[in-house]
Amino acid sequence: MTLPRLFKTEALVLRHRPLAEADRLVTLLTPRYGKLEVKAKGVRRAKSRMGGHLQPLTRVLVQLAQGRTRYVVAGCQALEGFPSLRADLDRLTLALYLCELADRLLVPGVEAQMPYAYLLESLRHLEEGRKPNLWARRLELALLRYSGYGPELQRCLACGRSLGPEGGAFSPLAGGLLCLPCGQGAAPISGPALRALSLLEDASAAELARLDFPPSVEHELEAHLRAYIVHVLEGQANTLDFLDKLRHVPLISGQR
Amino acid sequence: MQEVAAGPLARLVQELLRFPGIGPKTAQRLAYFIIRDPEASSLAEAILEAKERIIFCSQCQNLTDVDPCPLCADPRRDRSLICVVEDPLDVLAIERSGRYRGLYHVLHGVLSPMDGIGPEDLKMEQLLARLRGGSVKEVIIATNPSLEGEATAMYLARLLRPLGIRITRPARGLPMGADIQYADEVTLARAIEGRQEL
Ligand SMILES: [Zn+2]
Ligand SMILES: [Zn+2]
Repeated sequence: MTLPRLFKTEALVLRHRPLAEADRLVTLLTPRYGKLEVKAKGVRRAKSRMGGHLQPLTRVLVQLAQGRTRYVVAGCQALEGFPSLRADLDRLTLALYLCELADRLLVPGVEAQMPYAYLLESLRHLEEGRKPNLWARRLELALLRYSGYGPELQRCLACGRSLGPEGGAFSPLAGGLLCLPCGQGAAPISGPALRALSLLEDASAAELARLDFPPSVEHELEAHLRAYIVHVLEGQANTLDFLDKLRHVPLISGQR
Repeated sequence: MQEVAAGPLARLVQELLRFPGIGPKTAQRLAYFIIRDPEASSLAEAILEAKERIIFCSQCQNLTDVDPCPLCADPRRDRSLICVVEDPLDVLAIERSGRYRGLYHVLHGVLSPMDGIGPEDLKMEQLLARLRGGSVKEVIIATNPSLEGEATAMYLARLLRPLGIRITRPARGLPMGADIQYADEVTLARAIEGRQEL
């Protein structure tokens, strides 16, 4: 896709890295132009008005101008900041994980209306603090599907048998579902977890808001999708290491 | 960009390229300057000496050539107060503001979950060890007001809360996204004086 020399777009800030001087390299997700890596000049200085807006987990309206090697932020206006999310370390980390996943699964410069809408929807639910894990799972599936890695959830990938309440096995290597006889050695998946995966993918946002899965099913979903994503990314997302650490932060740290 | 032909010159350019903020053009310009500079060997000696003699202060983890560092050794500093910062340059910035009389602790970085930088990559254990001594009454967490700085502050607060020490954060005078080392003295002094309980 050829981009205009100067254009305005809505974007979600996925990540940033310090550059020389007080500059930053900022990764944006835009609906029309997809993922873009742009340069923001002088944003680490206290006088910079843009600096605060170009932090990860901000929805912005940016003006981008073609520079020598990459686009440069010429103007920026914050549209949405997710303040409650940023003040809660656990939800913040989960939200950063979703941003990292979008960053790693999406290809730069490819239109991204659908993942953009899904990511924004998930961040809004995380901001509200309602069922953060459910929305995280939904986004994982949506991003996998959009980037061409969506797992098979209906039929055994080996024999084609359609699977239902009896459950089966879930194999990242095979690309999703296997029936029990075909999937010996793969991790078993229960009927309810299988049904939950389909629901996460097919239900509208309003329907999903009314859904509730038992904790055992939630754990199963998290474990299967995590293994699947590790396989796709050829390694675990960095943010997940920290999320795991948070879950086990020794609250009495005085002794060791 | 034209390639440098000579081996040693090319190597010098490559070495300079590793520095923050140095691009290929600047690296080449600097390399040519160094070659022509009659004092260049004194620069080389300074680098070697600094690398050999600069260590982490065993108390505040700041860079120093004596242990404990002059700040930690200064009897006039308030030992009940520790200001936690990301970077040695932040210590300089806060010292420039001239109002803070406590001690420091340098983390040498900030939590950055996406980049895989976790608590074990920072000088957090050393901070805990200092606090276990029991003479510290307050910890000011002066990490930058960036997303990572805030996350680090929240993590530290969670880690330190069980110790029953007062935990504060500089006031909102510093705008989000700004780095402490780029803040002016007045703003910085005001932010630290107006610190709030976390
Ligand atoms: Zn089968
Ligand atoms: Zn010291």
